[in-house]
Amino acid sequence: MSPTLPRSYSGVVRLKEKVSPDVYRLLLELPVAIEYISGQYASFLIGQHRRPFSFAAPPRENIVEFLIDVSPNGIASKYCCKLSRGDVVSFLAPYGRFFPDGDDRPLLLVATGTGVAPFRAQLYDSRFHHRLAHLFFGAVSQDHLFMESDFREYAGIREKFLFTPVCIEGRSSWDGEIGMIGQVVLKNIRDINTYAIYICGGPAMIRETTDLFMDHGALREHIHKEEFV
Amino acid sequence: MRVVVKRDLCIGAATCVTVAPKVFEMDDEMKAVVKDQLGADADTILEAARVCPTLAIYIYDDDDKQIFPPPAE
Repeated sequence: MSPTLPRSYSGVVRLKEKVSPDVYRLLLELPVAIEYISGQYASFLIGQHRRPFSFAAPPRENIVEFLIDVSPNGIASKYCCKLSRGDVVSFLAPYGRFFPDGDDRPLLLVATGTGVAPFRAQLYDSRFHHRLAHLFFGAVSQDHLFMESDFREYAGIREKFLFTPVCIEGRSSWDGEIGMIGQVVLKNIRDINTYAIYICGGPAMIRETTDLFMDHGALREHIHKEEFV
Repeated sequence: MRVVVKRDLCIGAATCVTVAPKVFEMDDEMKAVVKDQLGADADTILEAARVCPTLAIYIYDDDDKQIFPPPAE
């Protein structure tokens, strides 16, 4: 799969919905179809600034989808909070090479927060369905595990997809895994070195998880990372 | 003309390398660096800067005045 050079697009907001206390799901309708590879991202044009956001769904003609965390309260957060249905969003796309290619190992997908966006796109993309994928999706609490029920339902339908949600802080109502996501992965995966490992989220989580996996035998060349800053 | 990659802004998209491979390359930390300031014409270098997803590429003219990203007015 060869990525294409980015070009400019402008899309109209068709849907903006809150999926967790800090995350919005944004759907844009473009005047033309767009081609990208699930796992790639767009660069939003916000005044004089640019901010990257992963596509959160596979290519669907002229509809694109993003998951935006507004908790940083920076330029992009404020921009997204102000967006309404009918507003126009401009971006350059596609960018990045964060997608499985040339390796048939089963996929170990490790994400926290909106780091799950590129994996969501890949999981729903039939081009990647031939590979076994196990998604570990972590958040600080159950309230922040957006789309958890969607992923669970999908795991019940799709044969080669396993899903493990993880809360850093468990509450009495949570009967799933609790703890730091890297530790939970090691508890559930017998031989981490048999996987192609993809990690997406904040820089600290990526650093800690990568170090942990390598301490437990994962090779650097089998670990692929995308940092959300 | 002088081309600078702001390392703290670079997220390793490598689009600049695709557009101007004789000017930019990726280092061991997957950050873009300038390998040859004169490796392409001004328009190509400007295009590489324009398509950077985080505007990490700064271009200065011969008087060291910033021409890209366009300075705030």
